[in-house]
Amino acid sequence: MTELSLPPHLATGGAPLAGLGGLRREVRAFVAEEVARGSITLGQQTWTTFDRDFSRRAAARGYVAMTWPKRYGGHERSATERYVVCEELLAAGAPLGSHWIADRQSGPQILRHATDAVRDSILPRIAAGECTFGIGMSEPDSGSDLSSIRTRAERVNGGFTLHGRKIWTTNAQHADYLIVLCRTEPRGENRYAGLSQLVVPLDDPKVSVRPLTNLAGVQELNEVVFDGNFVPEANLLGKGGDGWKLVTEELGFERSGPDRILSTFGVLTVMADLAGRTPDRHAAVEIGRLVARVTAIRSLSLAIAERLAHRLPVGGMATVMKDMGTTLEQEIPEVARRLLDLVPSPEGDRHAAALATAILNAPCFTLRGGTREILKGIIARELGLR
Amino acid sequence: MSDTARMLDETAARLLERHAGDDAALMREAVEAGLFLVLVGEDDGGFGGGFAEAAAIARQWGRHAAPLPVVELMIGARLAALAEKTDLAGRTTAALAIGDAAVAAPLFPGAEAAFVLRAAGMLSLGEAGIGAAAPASLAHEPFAALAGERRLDGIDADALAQVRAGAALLQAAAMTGAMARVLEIATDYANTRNQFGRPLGKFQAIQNLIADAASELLIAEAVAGAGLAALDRGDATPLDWLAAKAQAGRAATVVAANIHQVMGAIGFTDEHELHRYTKRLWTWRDRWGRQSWCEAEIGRMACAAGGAGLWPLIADRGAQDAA
Repeated sequence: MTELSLPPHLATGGAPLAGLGGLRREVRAFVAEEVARGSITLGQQTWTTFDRDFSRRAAARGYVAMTWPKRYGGHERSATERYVVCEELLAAGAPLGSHWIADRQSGPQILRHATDAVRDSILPRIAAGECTFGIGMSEPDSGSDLSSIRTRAERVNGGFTLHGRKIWTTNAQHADYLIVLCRTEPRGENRYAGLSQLVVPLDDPKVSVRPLTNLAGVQELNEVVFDGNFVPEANLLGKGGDGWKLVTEELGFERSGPDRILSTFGVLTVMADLAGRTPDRHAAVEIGRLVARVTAIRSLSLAIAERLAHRLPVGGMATVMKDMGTTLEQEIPEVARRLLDLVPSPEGDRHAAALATAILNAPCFTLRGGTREILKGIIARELGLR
Repeated sequence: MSDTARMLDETAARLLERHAGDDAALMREAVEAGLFLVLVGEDDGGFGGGFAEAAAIARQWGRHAAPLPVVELMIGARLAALAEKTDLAGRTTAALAIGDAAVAAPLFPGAEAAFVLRAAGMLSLGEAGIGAAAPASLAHEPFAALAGERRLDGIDADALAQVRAGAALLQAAAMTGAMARVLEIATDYANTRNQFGRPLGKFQAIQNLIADAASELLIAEAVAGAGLAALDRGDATPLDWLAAKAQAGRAATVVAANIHQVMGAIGFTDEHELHRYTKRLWTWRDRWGRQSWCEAEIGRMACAAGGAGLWPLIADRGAQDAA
């Protein structure tokens, strides 16, 4: 069996979700409270929208750091329980931006590869919903070709000094830390060698963060400049030089979750409402096609989650999931604008605003976390095309 | 259960490889081995398997573009056993009928009458005599005319609904088998055929066509697998099989179109094996739940649920509460 095959007769599909209805109901009750409070609005971009107070309340319910050890403030719940909580919050449109990156990838990386000192000081704050992380991978001259990054960490007494520039970092203006991919050795024959990951505090006068306004008029992305700031030795993840391996591992966490299916789910609910309780055949086919697609890609996401729980490899599958899921996210608002008598407008009613938000954010879905073109190349390699 | 599914998968593969090109021998041995009785209880002379086990056989059948309507044979046997438990022998089972004709093949040696499966909305079972050959389907399967059809009642409605869902999922499983083979063909070809001094597989445009086809297949496998597991557990909802069949249809369209593009003119000829798979895929899109019909059904369910009910429709499947 290759990593790109899930023979249907061997599936256990959905079994790991059994018995979690109680947890779902609990999360939905929390969502209802948050809707009443006004923190959740229709069509909101969920995991990029920053709301520290929401994260604190979610953490108080035990919805952050769910799978981590209790000694770090975690709750030692299963990966499946975390999956249920995440998909419920994402489908509802909850503002997860303050803790999402830390919970999804930075925290797990720290848990696996950081020193005790870093674990003890940072993880409990993430678990409490008090700490925000950003991803320090892309640079102005290094997008898809990540191995060409130029940010460099020079060894000094007790640690490193950092010089370079990161860009497209979501919520860096609110973040406490970035995990920065940088060169700890000059680039040689093997371009993937000599890279390392550092946990870099941003509250340093030698670090400057410049917010960039995106085409939706939202300050979400940032440029971060490191001008010789000191990073302690203890903040190195893993061994020096294995940064590429860590980045690849991190991207595996980034690519297979429900956050790659549900970014425009709110618009799908608008369609289900506005088409009426007994839709005509055209509307039924169009809406049904999208719901079938959400259902099908979610099955793949769940199968991957199950494999991750059994420590089976998921590389190529996670890549497929991200590519197909984000393409679906983009398709939903385009179907909506053909099907519904609705002019998208940020200033319009909640339906028109939700559609506008989806259209304005859609280009980003197939860029962030690896462009569609890079993903297809990875899939082709996995298939043995050479 | 997955050990049994693995075993049946290997048995079916061995049989199909041994008798490649000899349809009569394949039919004889498959019938003698009782392969099509996988869904019939052991008391009735069957195997007593679940839909996942049957899917192993269906997938291998699709993978080998084998003759015989394997889904209809397995489903027909199950329904016949449910309808009149003692009278299975001496019958033929026939496919989902289209007009007055049906795909026909024997369940037991020497069969003379047909079980007729009809699935216009609801599945029903009838029996009929077999007449002359009738016009073939797109995939040139053996259609037979039926004579004197009579509906057989007395099958429990829940059992019928389960078999209806199972038929769609088995058809989807057969499609994943055919698609997997098509992708093997394409990958081998792209790695060995050189143009402009390098293998086709080096061109990003070709890589993208094959990657998209493989991605659609993987999703089709995942959703069909989830549906089969739910059906065997006894907690399947209509969305399980409707989504699986819709996705199988969508995937079949992408796989056939993209791989015909990759294979070029040779794939358009009768001399290359590709058409044996793609014609089946085109046909199977419309069998046991036409793609657009499945989508419309899901759309109706979604709109009936409304915006607030849409997520629960998707997420609240499977055994939500601990037993």
